[in-house]
Amino acid sequence: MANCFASISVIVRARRALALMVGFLLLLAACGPDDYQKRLKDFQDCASTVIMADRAFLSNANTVEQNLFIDQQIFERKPFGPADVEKRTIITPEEIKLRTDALDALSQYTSSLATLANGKSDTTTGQNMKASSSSLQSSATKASSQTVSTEKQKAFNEKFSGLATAAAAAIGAVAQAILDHKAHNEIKKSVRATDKDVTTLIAFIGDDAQGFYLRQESQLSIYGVQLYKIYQCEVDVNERNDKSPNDSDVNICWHPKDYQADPALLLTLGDRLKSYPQQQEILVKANPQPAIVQLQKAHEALVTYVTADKNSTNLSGVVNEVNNLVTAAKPLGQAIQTLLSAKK
Amino acid sequence: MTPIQLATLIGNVLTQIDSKLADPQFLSSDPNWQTLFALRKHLDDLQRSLIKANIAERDASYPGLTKKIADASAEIKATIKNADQVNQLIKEVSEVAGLVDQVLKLIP
Repeated sequence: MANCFASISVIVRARRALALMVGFLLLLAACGPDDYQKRLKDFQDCASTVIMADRAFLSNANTVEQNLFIDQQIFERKPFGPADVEKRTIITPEEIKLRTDALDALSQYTSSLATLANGKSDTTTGQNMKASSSSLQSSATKASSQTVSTEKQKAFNEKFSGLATAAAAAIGAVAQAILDHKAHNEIKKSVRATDKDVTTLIAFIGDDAQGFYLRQESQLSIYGVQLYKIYQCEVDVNERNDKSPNDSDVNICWHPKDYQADPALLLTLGDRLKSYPQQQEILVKANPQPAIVQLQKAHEALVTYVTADKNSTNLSGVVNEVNNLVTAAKPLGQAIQTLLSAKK
Repeated sequence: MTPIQLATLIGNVLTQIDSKLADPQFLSSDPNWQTLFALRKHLDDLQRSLIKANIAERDASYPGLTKKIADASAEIKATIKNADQVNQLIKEVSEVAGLVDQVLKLIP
């Protein structure tokens, strides 16, 4: 009988908590401005764009290093084979998967957070967050157990594993609070307490993307030097050098002094030199850093909004940061697509 | 300065070196061009290693090294404007490369 009363008491408390939460959410929905839905949609779209850009840089990282090597060997007139190109790989498919899985989980979490901010802390939101948490934990476990070939990879995996585990626990705590139908204040407290781990992981993955972007920047920069110098070699007799190159010299202009430039080659070089400034312009627009910084700020504004006592006072912060995010992310998506499809 | 900020700073140095290497007045047969080109390749390798590395930022010598790299980078920016100072430029780029080598030794 005592157990029965206890069960009834639990049910009554849960119903009260649910009623309070529904009341709060109705109030939240009623207090939100007309364009709030649009801001949330913008936030989700921009987060997807940033993640897509990050994924593109990750997938392209080895190609960038291999192209850099091939250009370099051709420029210096040095022999190379497929095995030499293969050695330029800097990231394994397993390492790419670790990062993209983590990105997917973070994307799902931010999407759920936006839904939570929109007043929908239902079971589906809780289950989605729980799935994000499980996915991140799985990535963390894979990172810690992965066989790696270098000390650097080992160090990265250890750091990643620690951050992903913390973020997974943080998201899991919020998910559990929702699934347990805890009062909204407890959910807010859980979001506030654990979000630091999530933003740390976002920053870590953001740095990673920025690093691969920098490598692409370096590749394009030296490619410009190669184009201009090869052109000069063709047309400037002073650049020509008929001495046989040795191992230590870079003799890009190994032509006899009376060499006549091939017009077809000059036109081809001209085409590449004309498209070079466009490639530079696209690469600048494809820099993921401004959008990642804005994504973090918008995420923090969203967390502040979700966890604040008086939501109406914080809404302007969300609107401003999401607007800034849209401005930063808008050119990114298009630039990434153009960059990856561009051919030299 | 975080490791990614350091990698960005090196990226800026690389693009400055490239603007000098692409100068039509600076012939590739010039020994200074050859030296600067070799240093550029070395610095590029260092940037790649830096991006892949997990630097021990908490190491006491890290802030001092990055400060020196930032100072040397600022000097390169000033030197590269002067066409007559190629030897000075090579000296400063060598200094940056040497300091980045030291940073990479901080990997735990």
